[in-house]
Amino acid sequence: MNQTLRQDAYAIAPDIVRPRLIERAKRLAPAVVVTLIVLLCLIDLDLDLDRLANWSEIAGRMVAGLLSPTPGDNLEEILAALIETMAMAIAGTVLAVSLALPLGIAGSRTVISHPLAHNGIRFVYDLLRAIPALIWAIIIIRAVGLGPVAGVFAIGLAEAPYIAKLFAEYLDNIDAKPRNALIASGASQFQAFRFAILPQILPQYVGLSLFFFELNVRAAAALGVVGAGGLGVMLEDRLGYAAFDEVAFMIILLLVIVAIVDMISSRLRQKIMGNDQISWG
Amino acid sequence: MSLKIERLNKSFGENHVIRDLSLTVEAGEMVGVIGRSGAGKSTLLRLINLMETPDSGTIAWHGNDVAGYHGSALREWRSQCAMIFQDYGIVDRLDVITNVLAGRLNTTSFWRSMIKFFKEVDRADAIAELHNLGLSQAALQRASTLSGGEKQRVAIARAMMQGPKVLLADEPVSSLDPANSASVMEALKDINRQRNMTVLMNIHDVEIAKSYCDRIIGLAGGEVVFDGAPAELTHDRHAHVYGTPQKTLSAA
Amino acid sequence: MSSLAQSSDQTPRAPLHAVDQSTPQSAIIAFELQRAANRRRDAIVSSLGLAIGLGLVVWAFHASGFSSNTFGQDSLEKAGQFIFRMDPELEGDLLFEDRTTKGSLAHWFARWPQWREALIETIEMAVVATALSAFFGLLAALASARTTMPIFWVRWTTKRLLEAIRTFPDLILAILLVSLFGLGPFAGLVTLTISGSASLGRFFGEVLENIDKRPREAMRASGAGPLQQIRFGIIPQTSPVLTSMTFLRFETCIASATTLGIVGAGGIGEELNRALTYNQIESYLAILILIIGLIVAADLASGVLRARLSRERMAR
Repeated sequence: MNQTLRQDAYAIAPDIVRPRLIERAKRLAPAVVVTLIVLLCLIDLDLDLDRLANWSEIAGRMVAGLLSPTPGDNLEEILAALIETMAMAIAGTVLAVSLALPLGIAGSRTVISHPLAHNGIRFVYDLLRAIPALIWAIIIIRAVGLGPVAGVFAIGLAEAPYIAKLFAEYLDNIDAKPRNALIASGASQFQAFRFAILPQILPQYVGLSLFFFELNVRAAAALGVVGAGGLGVMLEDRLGYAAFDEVAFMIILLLVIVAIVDMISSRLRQKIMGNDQISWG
Repeated sequence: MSLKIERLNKSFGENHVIRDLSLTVEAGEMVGVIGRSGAGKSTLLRLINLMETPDSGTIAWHGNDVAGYHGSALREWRSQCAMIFQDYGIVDRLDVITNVLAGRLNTTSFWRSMIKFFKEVDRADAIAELHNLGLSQAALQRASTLSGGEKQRVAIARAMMQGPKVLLADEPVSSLDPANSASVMEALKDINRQRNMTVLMNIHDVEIAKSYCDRIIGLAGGEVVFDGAPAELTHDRHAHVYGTPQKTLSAA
Repeated sequence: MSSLAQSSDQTPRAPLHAVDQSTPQSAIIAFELQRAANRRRDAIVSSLGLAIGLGLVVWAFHASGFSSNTFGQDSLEKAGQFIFRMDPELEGDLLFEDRTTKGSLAHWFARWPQWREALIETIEMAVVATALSAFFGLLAALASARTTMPIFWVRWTTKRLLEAIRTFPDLILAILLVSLFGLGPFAGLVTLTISGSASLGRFFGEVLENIDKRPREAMRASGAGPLQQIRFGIIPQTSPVLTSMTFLRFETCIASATTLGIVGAGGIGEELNRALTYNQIESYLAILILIIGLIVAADLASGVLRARLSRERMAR
């Protein structure tokens, strides 16, 4: 095949015609660069694999323990911790939503329309969203001591900017026509809000709150690991004694509870929100 | 009783949408406003309802200029000239009866509207309006279960709840198929005949306007270029409303 | 909550068709009867719901220890003290002095070399874990998508497995793996890889299930084998979306990697722990700033790359 013909064919069907070396290199360049970066990172991480030499012995005990889950002598304590985790999840969600409600309304374009102010508010929310719940938890444990109160505050503070952003987006994306129609009929601003906007956003807000509650059951369990109350505290404690059978019991319990909560909550959401799906703007 | 508009002007930035427009509509007339999109039809209705504030000119109802109204007088005037929209403006998530009752918000107290508890007489009126439009059996359904034509009739029932003197309709049947649009136009015509209601509506479909309206007004470039009975709207005059080059150019 | 009070307009009601609707009067009577019945039912449902909901919330706060003796004047004071101690006590005129001068930025960030190493370790963990997640995620997706895996039970098992892993909070996985592999970044890396693979496996699987089937049909018609069909009929049309999802996962991975160190699984979180253990509260604030900066920077970088990727896809 002569050179020009080959170039024409390549222009038409680049995937089929075997391209020249330089073109192939150009197309492969990003992949090569990414692979190199990943390899460099891996080497620099200095994983110290020698220290892992005896891991198989621990792994054997761990697998044996995980395969024979038992509550040990701590069934009551475990159940109490589980209930505490649920309480933290509920209280944390309520706190997050109550903080997010005013923040979300303030972040809506329809309420504060000046672009500079609006973008400024959204930027602050984005910054706050960057702080993981766990880091909040550590700060708050310092302030209020070990225990579930810290977990509730951590969930509330970490999620409020998240939920606020979504609340604001919902408010900005509602159907404005019913509101205009009611204003045109002589209704007051408040009445138009009550009859045209509230019925649209309330189911979405409640559905979103339920969705975050589902996430928070997991989060509350995890926060216990750093001492913020609930099942995580027990988990960390039993793991310290290498009681893998009890750890396995708690993990299975957590999975079951999460599955049940998800099922009930998604039913409720379906009922409240109808066909609207939660969208991550 | 009449609606008398004199030398009305409205601009949006550089765009002069309504130019020195004067118009009188007598009580009980059914008037269809036709014209190309951008001719100022919607703006005219929104000006009459005071959803837009006119730059200059008067809008007089029964001799009173309403153009300067604000506060509760403004809301009172808005409730007296009810408005119907192309896309219904009803809330799908509320039931039909609540959508209709929302037409009474102007005369409903803050507390009653907050807990959504209307007076028994209001509920009876709402059912009677729905009954007139053949929808009383749907009163407790969610509005989302209705067809487009039914939704527009719910919007008409809501407008009637305002106890209006004038009914403004902005492209009421543009989103509807022929059968549904006939049901809505019949409903408007019945209201016009039986209650001597003044109806002013924008319609882009000239045939519908000719078959239901007593009087046709043609707008182009924010000015009245035709005003007469449907029979007077000959082919030439029709072309004048829709095609006059200078007018449409200056409107753009 | 108040949603329950709204339920009167939520559910479609028994129609009024059955009742006489011939005159406005009979329609009104029929409506009022039906409305009264609905209201009676709603009153029971919504007052029950309200009682349960309020009860749950009150109980939840009580059970979480929100009572006056544990949460009062004392803890507010402690919180205030803690925030007060986070203040690095910068002095305006000493701001740019060297690290031995108290009140300068250099003094505040005196442990920067150590923190820099920890930050780099965090990034490296996230990069490697994201790459591995993309690889294992793709394998899991190929095994769980209807378009690529004809055997039902393989699809079903893979999907359930991915679901079970996703239920697991990263941190709990991390403490298990730390006790298995010991302290250090290896446990963190494995944690991030496992949770990343489960998450990407699910998203990739959804993409693979929603592809345009025509290129692959054409391949099959021309005699390509199943693996060739996947390589040339499916991967090319999905790779931009998969790449974009991988970048998104990188953002999540960075955020997660900053916290894993708290349980000893490597990265900047370990420095955070150290600062707390040795009571260096002003260092704590500095590390917090670094963490937020890292997460925001990763979001921005990945956002720019994703935007460029989607532009290129548009241009094609």
